[in-house]
Amino acid sequence: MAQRTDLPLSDDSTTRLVPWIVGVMAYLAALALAAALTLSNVAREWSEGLEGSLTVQIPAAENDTPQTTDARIVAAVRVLLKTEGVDSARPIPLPEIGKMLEPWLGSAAATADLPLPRVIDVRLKPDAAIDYTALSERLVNAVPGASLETHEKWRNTLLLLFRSIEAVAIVVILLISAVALAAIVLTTRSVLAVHHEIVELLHLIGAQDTYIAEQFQRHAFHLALKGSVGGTACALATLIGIVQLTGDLDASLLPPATLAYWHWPVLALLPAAEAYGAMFTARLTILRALRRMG
Amino acid sequence: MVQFENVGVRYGTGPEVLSDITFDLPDSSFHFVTGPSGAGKSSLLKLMYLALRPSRGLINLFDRNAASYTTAELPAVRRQIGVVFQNFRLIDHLSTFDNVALPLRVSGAAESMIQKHVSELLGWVGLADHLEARPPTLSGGQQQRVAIARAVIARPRLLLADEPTGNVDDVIAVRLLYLFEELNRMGTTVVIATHNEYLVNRFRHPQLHLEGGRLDARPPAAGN
Repeated sequence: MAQRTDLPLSDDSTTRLVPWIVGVMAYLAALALAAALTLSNVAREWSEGLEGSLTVQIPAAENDTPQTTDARIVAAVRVLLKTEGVDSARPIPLPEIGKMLEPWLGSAAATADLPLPRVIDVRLKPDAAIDYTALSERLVNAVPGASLETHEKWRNTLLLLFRSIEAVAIVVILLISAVALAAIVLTTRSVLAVHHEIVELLHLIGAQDTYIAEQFQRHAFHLALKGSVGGTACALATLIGIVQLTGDLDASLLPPATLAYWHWPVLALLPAAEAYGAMFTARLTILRALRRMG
Repeated sequence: MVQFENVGVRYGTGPEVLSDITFDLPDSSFHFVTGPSGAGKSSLLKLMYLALRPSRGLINLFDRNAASYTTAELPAVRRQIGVVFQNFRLIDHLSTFDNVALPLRVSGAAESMIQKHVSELLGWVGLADHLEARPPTLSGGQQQRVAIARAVIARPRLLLADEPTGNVDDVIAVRLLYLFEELNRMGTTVVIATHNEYLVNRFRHPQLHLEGGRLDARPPAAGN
């Protein structure tokens, strides 16, 4: 910072607000980016978890005994395993189903005599092309009432939802960046106007536009870096706080909504990116303005 | 070096402040620009350091039509011109040293070379004890010497000075004129606008005398 500049930029009241503006923008941008990264994480895990899997549901029939139920499950599994592209078919044991339903039915679900449907978890081979209609028909023929859930539809809906929110987050980041850059442009212009005389003198002495622009851009870099480091630090603190708070939440139904480890350094790199963005904006603004001055 | 052909200047729609100016300054010449206040001396210098475009006529600078220099070429042209501005135009927040070093810095000179030359020159103009002083803390005469040092530090081919001795007594004025003559001997073309009759008479260089915006070229002042 103790670098000599020909322009008394550090004394300017016009630039005093820049670190604050950049700081707030950096804070918002970091949060929006974190949201976008988290959502893409969630979407990916959902998608990976559900891809290549099917569920076959076999409703509890009246007057069912455990033996008849098991027979029907075996029949369904047999049909499934005979189908091209099916890798495995695993009947989910009752206690596991009870546990899955616990959030809705309470701990009694597993033990009570509820007519729970039985579920077969089917894993497909990679790139399996399965005719779901035909498979569904064969299942119903073998086991009346059996139904095939492909997850495809609600998975797509959920993915669409996540992707939309992600897109909104990205648009928000772009808007924030645009506003921050506009603030830099306006500030740079007013600083240039304030120091018009010195700029003119530098021109008369034979300074090139780039020499003059360098003075401004260095200053813009320092101001923006100050603001963006502060803003991003606050955003990281906020995120850590959120992670701490939601850490104890038992969200067994959803994939964990957290940032991947590599996301943290990405967020930490934001200030540098923002400072360089401010620097290049200031440079382009100055060069354009100087070209007009001639 | 500098040729003017029928040059006229007007600001906006006002009357011409300079009319039908024609002259030719050869390489390594030394001229005074004289004339009463408001005769157009400053405008004439501005035309020469390319801060002002003529409304008519032709200016040749360094053997080229001045109007033909592109924006990209101007910095290189201006580095060959040293200017002492009437109001000095020093940068207040920079030290004396840094003000004088400016022309060398904008042309990317090595810092070691800058240190040597600037200290030397500031010693020569009697400001060795004020290297770190800011211009506002200096007297008018000292500021003027800083401005002159800045104009000559890069050994310009053309030196233009607008009342460079207006704020100093005759003893210092003479010393500064010796500095200009020294530069002139080394090949710099010098043009000095001045009111100072004493200097014009003592140094006997040809005059470009302006009167009401018109030029009246005069031979060197007669000896006394």
